[in-house]
Amino acid sequence: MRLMSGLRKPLIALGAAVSLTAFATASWAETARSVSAEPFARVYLAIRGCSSCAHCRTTIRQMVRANAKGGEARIGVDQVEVRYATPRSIPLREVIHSLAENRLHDLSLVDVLFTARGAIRTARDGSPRFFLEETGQAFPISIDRAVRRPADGTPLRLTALVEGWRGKGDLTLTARTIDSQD
Amino acid sequence: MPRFRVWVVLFIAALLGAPLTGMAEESTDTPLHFHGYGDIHYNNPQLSTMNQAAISEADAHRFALGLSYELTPEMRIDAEIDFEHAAEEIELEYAHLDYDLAPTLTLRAGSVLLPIGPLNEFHEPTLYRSVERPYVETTVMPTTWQEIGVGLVGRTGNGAFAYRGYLVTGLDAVQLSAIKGLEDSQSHGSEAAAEDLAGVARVEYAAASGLSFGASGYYGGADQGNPALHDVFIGIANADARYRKHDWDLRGVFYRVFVDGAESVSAFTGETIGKAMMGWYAEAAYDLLRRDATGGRRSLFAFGRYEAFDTNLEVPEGFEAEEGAGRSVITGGISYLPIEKVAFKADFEHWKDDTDAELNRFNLGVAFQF
Repeated sequence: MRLMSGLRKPLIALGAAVSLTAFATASWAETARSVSAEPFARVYLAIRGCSSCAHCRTTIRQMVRANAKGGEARIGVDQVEVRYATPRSIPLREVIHSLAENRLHDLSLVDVLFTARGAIRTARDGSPRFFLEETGQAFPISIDRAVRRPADGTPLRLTALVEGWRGKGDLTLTARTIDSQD
Repeated sequence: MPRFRVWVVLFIAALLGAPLTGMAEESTDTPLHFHGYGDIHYNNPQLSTMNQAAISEADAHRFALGLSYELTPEMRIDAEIDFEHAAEEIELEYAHLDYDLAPTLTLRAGSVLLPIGPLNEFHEPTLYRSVERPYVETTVMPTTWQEIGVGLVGRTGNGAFAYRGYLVTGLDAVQLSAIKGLEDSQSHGSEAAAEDLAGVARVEYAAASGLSFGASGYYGGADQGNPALHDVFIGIANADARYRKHDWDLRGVFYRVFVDGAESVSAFTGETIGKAMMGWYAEAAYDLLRRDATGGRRSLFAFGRYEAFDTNLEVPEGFEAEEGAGRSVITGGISYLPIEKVAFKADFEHWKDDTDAELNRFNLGVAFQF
């Protein structure tokens, strides 16, 4: 009983702290979700290496922001997300290069996903291109047979793998999911 | 002990509490992030002329837990607690508020890590190849060094050029040592004497070629109002360079320390405090598994390092340099990283001092971060 008595205060403190932490995290996450619901575009950068301490996170945040032209950078576990709330031209290559050039320790960029609102249209040469909503910015896109392609010009939200960033040529998109916005 | 309990309770609570929320649908949507690192060592010195009392030991050297809480997208609290030597020593590694004034400019206030040299801020054990940190960066540059302060953290030139500058509490000259140099003179932010302040700044340039350069400077009072010391000022100059590409990792680091008033500190402490100290090292490492070339996750670095440091490089008039203050260490070994955040290390050190005393030491270590 004495042992239990000695443990009572720490256990109460532990319980209270667990509850507060859970509540605070849940509240913030809920707020974040509602405030940032469906941004115009997101760039997800999957990274490997040191990205966890305050100094690495500050460095990564500032490196991305320096090239994101107004995009909001958020850092998760082994990933960086750059959000654009409203339609605008996305500096995709610059954002990618901010981390791909390995300016921090052993940090390396391994994959890039891009999601945005827009429409797919067939270009004059017959190849499909993804046009970002309201901006006129376009990227070549390849669409696997497993992914249903809507009719040209249909408003949609595209999630695509970004390819070509390791080289100096054009960036291209490979569609992963296409959600109709009608 | 009560402090220890409070921190343990808070950290366990935080670690338990966060998963209850499901951590949000995407990990970037949670305001609370945890991180940490640890390294556990086995050191086996061969009896020698340098230290007859040295024995083999195993040590849970560091285990650090940290958290970052985003109050808003522009405002964050970052903190880290270091439990050293199996929690025999507990240290607030840093605890500061970051407030973004602009996308690439942040105001930082609190207990901050000083931006001097490449290791003090980025000190996770998977980031250096040897079991122990370079000895230059424990004596001439006393990592991990934190002080209470305020300053700016920024970046420009498409992210390639970085700078940090802080006003911080000064060192305590009474704690300077002939052999250990600056090692115990920092306040760690614990009821820090603030009679004397210091300015510290660092600039870095990282080119896309894999080459990066850094330079740091520190200058401030260190007598902390002690009337027996008169005025004591300490200055530190640092320059470093690194090439990290094509599976090579080459580093060069240099520090020089100036102690203005070393004679009064020497008279007060009874040991010869160097009015100039110096340390440098050069290190080459090559990844035998060629992670850069293959795109894999595993690395096996073979490395070699030469370092030299002297805490009595120049001494005040009327004082004699302490024997053994000038030392060199050759370290060679391997570091295997199955993933980027875990390292198994083995190395061998050969020490020699200015009296020709020598010491050989074999070390094993495991390091991790999350």
